Amino acid sequence: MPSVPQNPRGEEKLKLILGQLSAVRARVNGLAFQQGIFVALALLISAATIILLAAFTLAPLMFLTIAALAALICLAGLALAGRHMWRMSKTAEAVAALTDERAELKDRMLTIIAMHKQSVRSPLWPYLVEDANLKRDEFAPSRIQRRRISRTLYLMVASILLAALASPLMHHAPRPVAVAKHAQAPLTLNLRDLNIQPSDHPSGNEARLSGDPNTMRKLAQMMAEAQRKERNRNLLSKMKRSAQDLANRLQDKITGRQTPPLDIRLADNGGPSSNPASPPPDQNLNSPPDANAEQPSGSGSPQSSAQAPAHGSQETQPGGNQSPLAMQAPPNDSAQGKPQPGVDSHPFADQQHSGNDDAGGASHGAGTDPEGLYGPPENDGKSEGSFQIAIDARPGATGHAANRGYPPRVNAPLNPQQHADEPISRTDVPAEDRSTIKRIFER
Amino acid sequence: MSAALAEPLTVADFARTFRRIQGEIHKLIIGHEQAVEGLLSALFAGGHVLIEGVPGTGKTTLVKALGTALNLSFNRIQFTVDLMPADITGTRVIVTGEDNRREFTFQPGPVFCHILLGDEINRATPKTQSALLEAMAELQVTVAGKSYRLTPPYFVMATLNPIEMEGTYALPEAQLDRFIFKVSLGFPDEAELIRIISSTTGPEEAGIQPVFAHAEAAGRIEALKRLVREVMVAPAIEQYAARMVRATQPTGANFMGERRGGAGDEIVNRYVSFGSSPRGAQALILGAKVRALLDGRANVAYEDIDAIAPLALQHRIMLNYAAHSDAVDAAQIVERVIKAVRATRT
Repeated sequence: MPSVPQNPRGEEKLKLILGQLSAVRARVNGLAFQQGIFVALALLISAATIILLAAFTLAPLMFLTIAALAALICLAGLALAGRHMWRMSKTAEAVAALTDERAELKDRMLTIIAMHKQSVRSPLWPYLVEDANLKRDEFAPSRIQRRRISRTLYLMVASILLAALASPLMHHAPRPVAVAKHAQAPLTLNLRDLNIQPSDHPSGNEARLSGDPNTMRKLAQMMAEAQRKERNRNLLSKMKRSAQDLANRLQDKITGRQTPPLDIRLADNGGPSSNPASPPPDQNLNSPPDANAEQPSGSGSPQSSAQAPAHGSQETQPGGNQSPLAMQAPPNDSAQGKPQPGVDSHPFADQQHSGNDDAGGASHGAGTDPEGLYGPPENDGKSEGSFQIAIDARPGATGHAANRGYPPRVNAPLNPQQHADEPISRTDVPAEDRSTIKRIFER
Repeated sequence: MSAALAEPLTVADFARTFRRIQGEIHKLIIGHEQAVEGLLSALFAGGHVLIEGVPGTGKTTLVKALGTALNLSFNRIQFTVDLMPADITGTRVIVTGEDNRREFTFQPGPVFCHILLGDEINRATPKTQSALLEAMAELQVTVAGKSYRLTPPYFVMATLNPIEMEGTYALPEAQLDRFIFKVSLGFPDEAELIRIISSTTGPEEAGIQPVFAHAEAAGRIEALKRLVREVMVAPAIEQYAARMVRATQPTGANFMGERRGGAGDEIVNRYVSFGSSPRGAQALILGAKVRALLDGRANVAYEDIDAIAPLALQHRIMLNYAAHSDAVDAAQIVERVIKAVRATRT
C-alpha cells in the first residue's frame, strides 16, 4: 500500500475527530460508572433496609433467613452490577463501533480508530478523514449518548424512599421495655422442675442464678448431665439452636436491645410428686413473662416463702466456665422418667390435679376431663409432658411462634353449675315395662 | 498514457464511471439491476463471474453489452461436449515462413481477449473446463510448455443453464471457486417483459456508447481496479468476514481444525458437506470494497460484507443429499450464516 504524505490540515482534522471520539467515550464510560455505582448503592440500601426491618419485626430464625437471603441477593446483585459496569465500559474501538452504529457512519470511525496509528496509510486516507470530519456534527457526544445521568439514579432514589418508609416501622416495632422492667424482679424456680440444656449463647449475662450451695451443686450436676446429652443430640437440632442463638445475637446488635439480666433464684424442694404439699412448681414457669415478673420475691406468697432461705445465698453468672442454660420442666413422670400406667400424660394433667388440691373442688377432680378445656394439644416437637422456658427469651423471640406451645396457665374455676359426676342408682324395672323388655330379650 | 490516466482517481470517479457503465448496459438489458451491479463489481474486484439463468434471460446479451460499453476486446466460446482444451487456449500450428521454412507457431485461442464469454460452460467436459483454470487464476496460458500472458483486464463470464442438465458436466468445486461471484438472472416480470418486447422487436436497436476510448479502456479499468484495492478495511471487519467464511463449514469437517468463536448454525451442520474456501473471504472483502466505493466511502462497512455475502458465498457451498431432499438451497444457508455471524458482532 503506497504511503501518503502527512497533511498538516488532515492531521488537525484527525485530531478533532479523535478528540470528539474521546469525549464520546468519556460520556459512555461515565454513564456506565454511574450505573454501576447507583445500582450498587440501591442494592446496599435495600438490603440494609430489609435486614433492619427484619431485625426489628421478625422472630430470630425468620430474621436470620431473611437477612441471609437479602445479603446473598445483594452480593449477587453487586457482582452482576460490577460485571455489567465492566461490560458497559468501552474501549476506543468499541466506542467507535457504537458511534458508527448510532450516527449511521457506516464504520468510518471504526476504520479511523484502527488505521490512524499505522505508519503506512492508504491513498484514500485523506478522503476518509475529510469525509469523517464533514460528519462531525453527526457524532457529537450529545447525539451519541444523550444522557448525562444514568436512569439507575431512580432506582437508588426508590431504595432511599423505601428505607425512609420503612424507618417508622422500625421505630414502632415492639420493644422489650415492659419485659425489661419486669425482669428486674427475681424469678424463683424449683430445680426439680427444670430440664437443663446447654446453650450456645456466648454472652452468658442473660440470667443471674442464685441459690443455696446444695442447689447450685445439684445444678452443676444437672448441667454436666445436660452437656453429656447435648453431645448425643443430632446435628440438625444443634444447628437449629446455633442458628437461633446467632440470630439472637445479630438482632441484639442491630436493634441495640439491652435486656437486663434476669435474676433467677433456684430452689431444690423436691419434685411435686414427692412433696404434694409443696406449692405448684410451675406457678412461675408456666405463666406468661409478665405474670412471672409480677411475682416479687419475698412477697409473702407460699412459693416465695418456700424459696426465701435460698435467696442471695450464692450467685452465679452463667457463662464463664458454665454454659448458659435453657431450662425445661421435666415430664410428668418426674424422677423416674417413665410414664406411669393410668396416669394422664398430658402436661396439664399434673397441674390440674394440683389445682384440684388447692381449690378443693370436687367436681372436676372426679370426672371432668381437663384436656378438653383447651382443645387438642399441638404437636410441636417437644417431648410430651414438658415445656420450655428460654431464659434469654424476649418478646421478639416469644412472638406468635412461641405461643404455639401450651396456653398460659389460668387458675379459672370450673363452671359452678356443673354437677358432680355420680353413678346412676340401680332401680327396679317399672311394672308396665316389664313385659316389653321381656319380649325383647326373649327374641 | 493520456492526461486523464495520469490524474489519480477519486472515490467519486469510481462511482461515476461505474454508474455510467451500468447505465449503458441497461440501455440493452431490461431489469436485472442487481445482476448487472454484481457483474460490474466482479469486474472491478478483479474476479470472474458465473452467470446462471434459464434460456432467453439475456445472459449472452448482457455480456455483449458489457464488452461494448467497456470498449474492450470480446470473445465468445460456446461450450459443447466435443470442445477440446486447445480450442480454447490455442495451439501450435505449422506455418511456412517467407524463407520457406516451416515452423510451429502458436495460434492463440479465444481466451486471448479482455472479456471472454463461456456460454453454457457445464456442457464441456471437465478437461476442457479445466483449460480455463490457468487463464482465470494466473492470466496466462501454457501450451507445449510455453506460457503466454493474457493482457489485463481479463474478465471471464461463464453461463450456466440450470434446467437442461442432461449431458452436462457439473463444474468441479475447484473451478467454481475461481469465480468471484455467481450472478443469477431471474425470469423478468411482466412489465420488464413488455419493455423487452418493445425495445427488441422494433426497427431501432439500442445503441450502447462505449464509456472509454478504446486506447485507454484497459488502462482506466486497471486504474479503477487498483483504487478498489486501496479501500481500507478495519481489522474488526476482516475478522467478521473470516468468521463468516468459517461459519459456512460444518463443525465436523476434519480440515477445519480448532473452531474458536464459531457461529456454526445447525442448518450448516445438517445440510452442508463443504463450505466456502478462503477465496470466499477474499471475494467478500473485494466485493465489499467495490460496494464501499459505490457508496462514496473509502472504508468497508459491516453492511457491505452482509450485502455481498450471497453473491460471494452461495456457489462455494456444497450441499449434501439431505439439503436436496429437504429443498434447502445455498441461498438459505448463506442467509442463516449471515444472521448467525451478525449476532456475534462486537
